[in-house]
Amino acid sequence: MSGARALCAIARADFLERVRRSSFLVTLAATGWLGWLVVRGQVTLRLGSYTGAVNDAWAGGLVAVTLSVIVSLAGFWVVKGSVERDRATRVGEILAATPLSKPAYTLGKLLSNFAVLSAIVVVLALAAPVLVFFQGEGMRLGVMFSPFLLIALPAMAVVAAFAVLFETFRPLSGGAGNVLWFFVWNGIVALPLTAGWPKADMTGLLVLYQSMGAAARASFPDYARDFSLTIAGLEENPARGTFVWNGIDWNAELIASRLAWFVIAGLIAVVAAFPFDRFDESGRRVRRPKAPGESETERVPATTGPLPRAHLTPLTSASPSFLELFRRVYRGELRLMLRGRPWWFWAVALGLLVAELLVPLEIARARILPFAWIWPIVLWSGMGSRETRDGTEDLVFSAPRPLALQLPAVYLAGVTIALAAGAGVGVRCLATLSPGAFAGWLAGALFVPALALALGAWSGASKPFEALYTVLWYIGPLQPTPALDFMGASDAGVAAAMPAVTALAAVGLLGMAVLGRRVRMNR
Amino acid sequence: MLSLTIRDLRKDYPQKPRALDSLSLDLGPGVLGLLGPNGAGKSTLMRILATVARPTSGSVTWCGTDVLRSPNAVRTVLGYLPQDFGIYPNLTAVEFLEYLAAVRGLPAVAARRRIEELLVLVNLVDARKRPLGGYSGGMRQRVGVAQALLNDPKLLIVDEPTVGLDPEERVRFRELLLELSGERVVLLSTHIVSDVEAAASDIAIIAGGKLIARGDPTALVRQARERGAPEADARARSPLEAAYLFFARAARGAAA
Repeated sequence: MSGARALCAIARADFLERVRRSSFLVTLAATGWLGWLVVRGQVTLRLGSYTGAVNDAWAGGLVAVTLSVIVSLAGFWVVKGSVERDRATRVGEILAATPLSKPAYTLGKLLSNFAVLSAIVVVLALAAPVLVFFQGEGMRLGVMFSPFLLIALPAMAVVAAFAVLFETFRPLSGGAGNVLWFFVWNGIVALPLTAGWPKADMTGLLVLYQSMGAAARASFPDYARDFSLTIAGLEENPARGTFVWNGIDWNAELIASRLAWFVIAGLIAVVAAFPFDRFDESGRRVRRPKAPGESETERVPATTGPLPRAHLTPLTSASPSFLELFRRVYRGELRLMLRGRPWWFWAVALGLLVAELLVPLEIARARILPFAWIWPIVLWSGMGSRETRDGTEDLVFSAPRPLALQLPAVYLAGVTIALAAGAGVGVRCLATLSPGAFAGWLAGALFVPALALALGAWSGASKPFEALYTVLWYIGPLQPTPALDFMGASDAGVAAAMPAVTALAAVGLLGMAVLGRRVRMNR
Repeated sequence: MLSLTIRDLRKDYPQKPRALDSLSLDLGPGVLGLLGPNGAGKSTLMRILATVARPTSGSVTWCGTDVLRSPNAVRTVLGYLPQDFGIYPNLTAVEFLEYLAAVRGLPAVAARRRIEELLVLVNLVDARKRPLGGYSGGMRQRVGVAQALLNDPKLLIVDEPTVGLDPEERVRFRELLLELSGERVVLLSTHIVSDVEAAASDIAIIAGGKLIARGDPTALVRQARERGAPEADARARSPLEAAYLFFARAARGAAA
């Protein structure tokens, strides 16, 4: 009983802490904007060339699909971080000294994550009746809201549980986990639809697809199997026809299969308790010289002999030139970015660089370069936010000319990493006299660190860059979508003048970074 | 002549009591000890003087230059040890100090010599090449002390500098402040009366964001008695501590 009370207390405190942050308001505002797009008809669900007539069931289904596709992806990034916050605020140490069990803690975090995601579901669910009010007919509340209860909420519970698991499993607790989630999510969404495997249908999309597909086929026998959600009017061709869908025919088996995801979410949270270190930092890896037999407490001696007398030579040298200072700060920033990575991180980066040089240039641009420029994401994601994360803001911001000296040095260090990681492609573009491809490559090398710096300077966190860059990287260069190809991965992107657009975007982002840093400094 | 002038400084935070309320102070060479209970506004004042926070109104002048308009005028001569500060866990003490020396604009050769001297001074020579992530709290604090002295500062602002230091290190740090104070303006903030008593001959007591009293220890004791403080306070370990407790209680009473 006390365990359950502790679990609820953890969930409640964590939830209150989150909803009282301004970032929660930003999340709700973004959700409201998404709901607004739904109401304005800019979020469309297509089954082949057809779409559903707007009624209560369709509105509920449309919003549920939006939740299952978009919020299940972005929601993970929104809620991930609560364990890390306990670590950073040292509340975790206090909790660790209580009788609280590890599963109770992880289940509490699951509940808190789920509560936050449920708030997003509720806000977005409001779009369904508004959509029907303006554009459709019917107001059967059970039909309209059952997809939220039985499709969206179980999916959110699993997303909430994955967020806990990624946090307690230390290799995935940072930027690597944020990137990996995108691929995990891709598999979770695509697998049931492509393989038709209902048991893996966490998002509930297969349930909706099968029900809506049957209605579409009844009206349009030529409908085969496509099922797509488009946002903000990206779909150019109008639907060839509309069909009437009256909602999912819920039966006991179907309801049980959806509710089972709550149980699975709970199990994932319990599993997350196993790798959870209970805020014991002693196992954390810190780079240090190896000393055989050296124990943890012997790592650094507390005192080292008698205290010496003070002797400080007065500084009389002339001030160094700006360039000399910049060179040293740049070197320091580069060191901060590169330090503390395991050997295999560099081995993979080197392997990608070699591959850039060995495979045909077109493949190197289209397939190797995107991976070479997603691999260092954790190096870039600290740009602009490292001072906040490590608590050195007061030390750095009280130094002379932090905007003119330190911020450009951080950016140049980020560009250096981009140039080095993609050097194989850059050199070959030059060697083969491909100015368009080279311009695309160079613009990409300028753009990626600028994006990291701008998002880091404004948010003071690395997660926004890790999340946004991963999505942009996937849709843009990897798909590829020429209009979003910011690294010159395809000739179509180069032909669409993307190098110039990307370079301009980089300049705009740098301006945003300076502004963001200035705001942070003047708080 | 070095001087730091603070006039009518006010700082408001949203939905919180006023942190600083028309606070004025004049500082010259030497150590000014800033005493006050938790929440008195000491750290807010320190952060404004260190140019990492802006006041709602008022002015700060360093040797005649408006610090709020030209923050770099004070940043070039400033040494600042915040109450809470972080480190980069994967850097060694030397690397961390080299980085901050560059950020602060120190010449490379002079910075290297200074860092070596500072590591001796704060007793971290043996640990100089170990990552800071493995340091104890007291050792991190000593790194903080070292970075504050990197640029041979003319204005040294130290906020609760002895937190985490062992008694021997505390004594050493107080001596160091006295040694350094001759040609600099040193502002030492703490709520430990014995620290301020040992290091500062000029003491300002603030509470509720206001300056309550200022003077040397003898003058403060006298002021307290003139305002009705008892001759002896059983809970106080020194006359100055008794005076401080009296002023803090009086400020709380006035606020209530």
